[in-house]
Amino acid sequence: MAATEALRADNPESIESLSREAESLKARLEEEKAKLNDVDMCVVAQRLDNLAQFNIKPRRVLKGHQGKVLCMDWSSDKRHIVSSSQDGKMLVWDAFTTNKEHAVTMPTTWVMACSYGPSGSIVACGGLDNKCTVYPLSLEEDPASKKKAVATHTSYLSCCSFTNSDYQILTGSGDSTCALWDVESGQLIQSFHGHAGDVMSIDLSPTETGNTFVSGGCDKVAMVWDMRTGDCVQMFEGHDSDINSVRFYPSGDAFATGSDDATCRLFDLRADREVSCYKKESIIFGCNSVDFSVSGRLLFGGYNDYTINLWDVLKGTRLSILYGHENRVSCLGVSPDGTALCTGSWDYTLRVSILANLM
Amino acid sequence: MSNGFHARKYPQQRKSNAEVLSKEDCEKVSTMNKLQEGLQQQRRLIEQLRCEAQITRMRVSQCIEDLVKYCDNWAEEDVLIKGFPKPSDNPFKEKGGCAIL
Repeated sequence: MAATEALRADNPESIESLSREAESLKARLEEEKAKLNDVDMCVVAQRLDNLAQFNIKPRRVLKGHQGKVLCMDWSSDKRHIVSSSQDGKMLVWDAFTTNKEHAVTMPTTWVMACSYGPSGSIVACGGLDNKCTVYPLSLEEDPASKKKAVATHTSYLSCCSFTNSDYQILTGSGDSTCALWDVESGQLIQSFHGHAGDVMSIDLSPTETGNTFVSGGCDKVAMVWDMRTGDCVQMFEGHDSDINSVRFYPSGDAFATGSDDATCRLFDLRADREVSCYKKESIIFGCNSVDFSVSGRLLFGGYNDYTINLWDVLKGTRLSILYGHENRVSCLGVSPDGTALCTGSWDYTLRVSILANLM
Repeated sequence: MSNGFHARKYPQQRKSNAEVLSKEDCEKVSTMNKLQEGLQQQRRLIEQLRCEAQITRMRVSQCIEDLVKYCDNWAEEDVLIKGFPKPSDNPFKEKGGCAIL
């Protein structure tokens, strides 16, 4: 205890005084933001037409994993899907035919992150091995023969995403940091410190000049980062529990979050605040993954109660519930052209759903 | 916070340095580290909040208007709302479904 006392003496600014200062700064910020909160999104959206009844149905079931599916990503060709699982496998699927085109066995179980490179000829994954490994895909060779470990964290890899090229990859980790890496050399380009808990999800800004990304984590906070400087430029609070998923609105002006507090939320970057919350009294289980349709009007959320809720982003209402999975829905993604929704689950399967024509 | 999380969601083996240091030493080191970390974190937070105070913000009504506009502009392209323009555009047609003769 003597050491602790000595340390206290060396630091005239105590934790208490610092946190008091932080609180007053926060209060002032809230006051400023409240001044601009002139309207409620649901009220504005009342004048909009209601969307028709939704009939989104699974058309393909991808079977092959022998453990919980933990992550998935679409290829830019709108046809292939990469998925990773608790069984230590990463599989590459042809979603049209349901054929498995590649299978990679990782040296670890719980492969929590996987991502397709923009060219469609490289994939990356990682998990409890604390690493992010890339695998070039070719028809002739086993991808594992050309694998390369790019990133190393001090805790598990929770998410990864290539930037606009195959040459850089962004990672998020249980060590509470995000990092940008050069794929070729494996060099760390930039690291991002600020989260006070495990980072669970990242998403790159879809805007051309973006150079920003958003991250969410177990500290219940979402942060927007400048990739060039490594600085956190905006911070968004509001969730009552872990943020499991973050996803940019297609225009890049806002982003959605999915949380263990059983809500999804929409945060606007330019208003610098939460603008909508998607919840219902009957929804009590956490949301693991979110994604938008191409117009940004629909928000899909994958929940722990085995369902996918479909939200009207503007009106804040639930449009429908998609059933089918027999365990938690752990991940989901809308294909790049917006035609299909892929969902992955702890029931070991992935499903590809489309809007069934009303007959 | 993160340790509790591991226990809850994902299994993870935690290495301890208990084998190297006595239990008492470990506790001392960890208390000091925690205190240092806490101070660091608070300082970073304050700096962060000061930066955020400088941001130029827009009215919520304006932001929402822009979100609505974006939805409108892209509505026709949204296949998950509008459906496929032609059935032949659908690459996920039921396999072996009845063909029109």
